[in-house]
Amino acid sequence: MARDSMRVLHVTHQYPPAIGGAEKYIADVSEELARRGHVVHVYTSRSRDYATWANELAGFERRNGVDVYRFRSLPRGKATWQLLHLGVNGYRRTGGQLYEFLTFVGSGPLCPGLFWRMMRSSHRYDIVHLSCIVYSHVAYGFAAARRSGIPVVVTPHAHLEEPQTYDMSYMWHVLRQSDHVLAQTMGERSFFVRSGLAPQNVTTGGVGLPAKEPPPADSERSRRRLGLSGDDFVVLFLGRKTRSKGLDVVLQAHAALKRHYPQLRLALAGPGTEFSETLLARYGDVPGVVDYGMVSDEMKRDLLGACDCLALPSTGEAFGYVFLEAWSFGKPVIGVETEAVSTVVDHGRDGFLIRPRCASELAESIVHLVEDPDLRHRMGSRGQEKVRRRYTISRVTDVVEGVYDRVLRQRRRSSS
Amino acid sequence: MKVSVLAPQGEAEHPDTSRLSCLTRCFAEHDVQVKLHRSGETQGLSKQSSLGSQVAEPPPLAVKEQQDYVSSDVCIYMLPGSESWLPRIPSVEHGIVILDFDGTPSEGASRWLHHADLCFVSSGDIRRKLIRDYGFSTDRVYLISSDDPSCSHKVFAITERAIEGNLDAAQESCESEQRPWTQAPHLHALRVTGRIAEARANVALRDYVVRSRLPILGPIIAWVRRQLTSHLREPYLDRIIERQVAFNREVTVWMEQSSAFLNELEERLTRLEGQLDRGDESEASRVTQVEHGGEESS
Repeated sequence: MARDSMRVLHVTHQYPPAIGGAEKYIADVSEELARRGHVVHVYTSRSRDYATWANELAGFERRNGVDVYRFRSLPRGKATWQLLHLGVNGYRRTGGQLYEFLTFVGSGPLCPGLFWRMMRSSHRYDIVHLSCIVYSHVAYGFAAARRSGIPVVVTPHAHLEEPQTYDMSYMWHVLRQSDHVLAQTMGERSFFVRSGLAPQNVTTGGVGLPAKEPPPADSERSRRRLGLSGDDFVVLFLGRKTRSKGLDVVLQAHAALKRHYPQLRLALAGPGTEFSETLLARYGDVPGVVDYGMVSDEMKRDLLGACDCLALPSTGEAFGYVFLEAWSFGKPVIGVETEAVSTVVDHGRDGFLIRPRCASELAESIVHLVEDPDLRHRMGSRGQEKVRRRYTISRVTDVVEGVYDRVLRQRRRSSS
Repeated sequence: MKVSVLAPQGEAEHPDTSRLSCLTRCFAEHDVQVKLHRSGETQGLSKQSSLGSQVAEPPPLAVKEQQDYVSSDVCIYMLPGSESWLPRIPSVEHGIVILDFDGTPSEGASRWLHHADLCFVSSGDIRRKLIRDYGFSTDRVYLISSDDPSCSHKVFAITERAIEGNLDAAQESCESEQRPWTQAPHLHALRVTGRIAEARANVALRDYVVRSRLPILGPIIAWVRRQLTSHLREPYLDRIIERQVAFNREVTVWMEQSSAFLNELEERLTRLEGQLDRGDESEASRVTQVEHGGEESS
């Protein structure tokens, strides 16, 4: 018998206060569903750092209407990481099942308590939603839910340019056997459909920003606080400073343009890495590069308010949440035409798309924006409008709630 | 098959009459029982005003009517005008839910749109809005024009496929609707071929595992066979196959780029031909004018 309110179980590798895009996504959706009157429980690990799976957080927490149950996971040390690398590389080379098992163990989080709890209590829920397929909890969570006969929805958060995030036969098994797959972008959806998933079982969900508007950014004041002048043209790079995020590409483009456009400033914000330290030392003599390191939320807002455009030539984005943030401040964006990002950014309309790792195209896009303030303004406004229209948490939850309802109806249809 | 249609009140004065009759006719032609439910609160409102209306409490249903509605195999909501029924979608037990749009969806109704299995729309503009603003995939939104004589046949075929859980066949036709390739059908064909090639580029059989079905000795036999072939597979065959897959992918990307380039050339050619035609016409009119001028002066 159908009913208006659902009992939903979300199973995820980590949950806030742990930081990350997938964590934020599942928390936003859970809280919005709870606000709409559904009963939402979350099963997750006690960790806030996927590098170690250290058990730091409390076993239970009620967070904005959502009951969060956290389970102990086996820690991830150096040996586990080696196991993971051995598994991933071996699987890519041979496709052997042993390597898959090593990948499963190496990925983690391995939470026996979570599996046991799901085996015992999954049947109390109407639907199980698994998030982030690259981690092992999806595989054993799926097995437990299937055993109880509960419909399963999966949000894979697959980085299509990094096959190790989805391309293992146990991951494909979960995707194929699930009742529904929620892709983040139309590009991801079309990839899964091309790979053989039934089109009616794959829906584009997307991610969203809170409905509350960001505080109006006073660009001048933000610039003063950040030590930038009003005449500067500020390109912002916001993200983990790794090669896959394209930090080297941004620096190359900046170094090439700086001679011709002395007003150009490159603001870098995000956690540093060994790669970024080496790279920044190499580009030390290039003027106009400012590294703000890890930034607080307030400083991030200042940076977004102060910049003229956001450049994130990343080749490993499942969606690109930061594009939405830049748009919400009315700033144009530059991304890479990967399968996922090219369905989020409309090239020439609300931003530019460049070829992967192509510094010359990035430089060309920046020149367009420097030389045409009207274009900059138009692109930013269109992006802002797009966020308001499509990428809010409420809109994203509409899709998730709709998918749950369709899955439940489909289940009843096949059993009747 | 039991079909419920939820339509706005006042068939006679409502402009949706032909659309409603198209929907009901299609099922009647196949001897399918259609139950028509009316929503009351939009009575007397013009289509324009109902677009902006908020979703109100759904009108109460008689017990019998409620039973018919929730147990239907297909529920069709005609919009605008039936927004107040949308919050009842979760009470549908197992039926396919179809939203039929003859106008753009109101903001208040947006929460319920994704509960629908399918959408029928009367115009390309509404279809684009559903895809662009609400993130619907192309294979869930069908353009159904009530002026089209084959409309009822199309509606029935799509509904039947949806019940069977097989809407794959419709996908290609929808994509063609989205991208009009009328000027260069051969390029469309090339693009489709490219897409198929892309899917086939990955020739490696990654799921293949050496197995033996013998009860006890099987695993040992499989293990021996794996060991006997691994010296060839791992250093040699697998690498060749991976190289082949990489090459195939590069070729498909190249094909995709070539077809896009050809398409661009085709468009430029059409534009230039148009300019040439317009140039010919203006040249002809200029010649005529000169001739007339000459005649007059002589």
